[in-house]
Amino acid sequence: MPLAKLRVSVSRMLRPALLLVAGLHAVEAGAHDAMVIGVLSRDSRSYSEAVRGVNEVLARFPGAAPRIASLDEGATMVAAGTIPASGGTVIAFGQRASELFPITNYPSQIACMIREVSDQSGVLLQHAAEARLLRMRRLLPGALTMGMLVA
Amino acid sequence: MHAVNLRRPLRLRLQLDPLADRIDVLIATYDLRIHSAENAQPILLFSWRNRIPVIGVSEAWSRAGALMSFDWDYADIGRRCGELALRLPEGRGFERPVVESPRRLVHSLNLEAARHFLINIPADVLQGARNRYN
Repeated sequence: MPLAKLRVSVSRMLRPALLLVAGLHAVEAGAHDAMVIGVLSRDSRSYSEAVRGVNEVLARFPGAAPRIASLDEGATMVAAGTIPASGGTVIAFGQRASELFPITNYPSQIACMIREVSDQSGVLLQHAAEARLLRMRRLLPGALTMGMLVA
Repeated sequence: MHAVNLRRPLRLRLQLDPLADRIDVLIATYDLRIHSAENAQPILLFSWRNRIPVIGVSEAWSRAGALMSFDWDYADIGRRCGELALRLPEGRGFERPVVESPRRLVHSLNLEAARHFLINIPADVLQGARNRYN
């Protein structure tokens, strides 16, 4: 289904049930109306919290609010070409990011990835290993030797 | 640092046992092939039997018995992603990949595990925990 056509219909009928069927959860009008953001996650908690965060930011720019298409099963939508056709932006989390957009150097260390799917570039939010170790050190200052399981 | 290469995950316990006398803490990595729900039980049993704390990869690990686990603040990641999305040039992506770290790191604690491992939790670590399990 052409996304442009879908956008028009959902922006006029903002009903969650309808949007869920369409694969879109929320659409808002604004100056950046070419922008479509897909939030991809396997986990409903991370998905809903991330969408809330995205919306908090966009609410601060009422004059430039992009349209948002948030989805929990975005792989289908990406594979079907819906988001690429829109020139939209995808925010993918963890394993989902690795699956959708394989990145050689960041196999399992991606916290989040944001990417314009028609382009090869993007932004990776990568796990902060140092920060985790520092906090662990606060709890276990006497731990001198660490074990790690790798595959 | 001792890294154990798990070529045969089904024999996880046999591969973990030799670590018991060699490490002070076991740190989980973000590799779902290893730190899966299936492997959680033998890893945590090893931890409690040998009094070697596990640092888990998600809140669920603390709930299950890991001394501490880290997680992301997904709302803050969403906010950051929203900011970045607004910065994306019209019709173009970034010229090269940008790599950042999440701004907020959150942690959860298992207080029963702390008692079992005889660990005193610093006040700031305790107060900063998003979840505390007894």
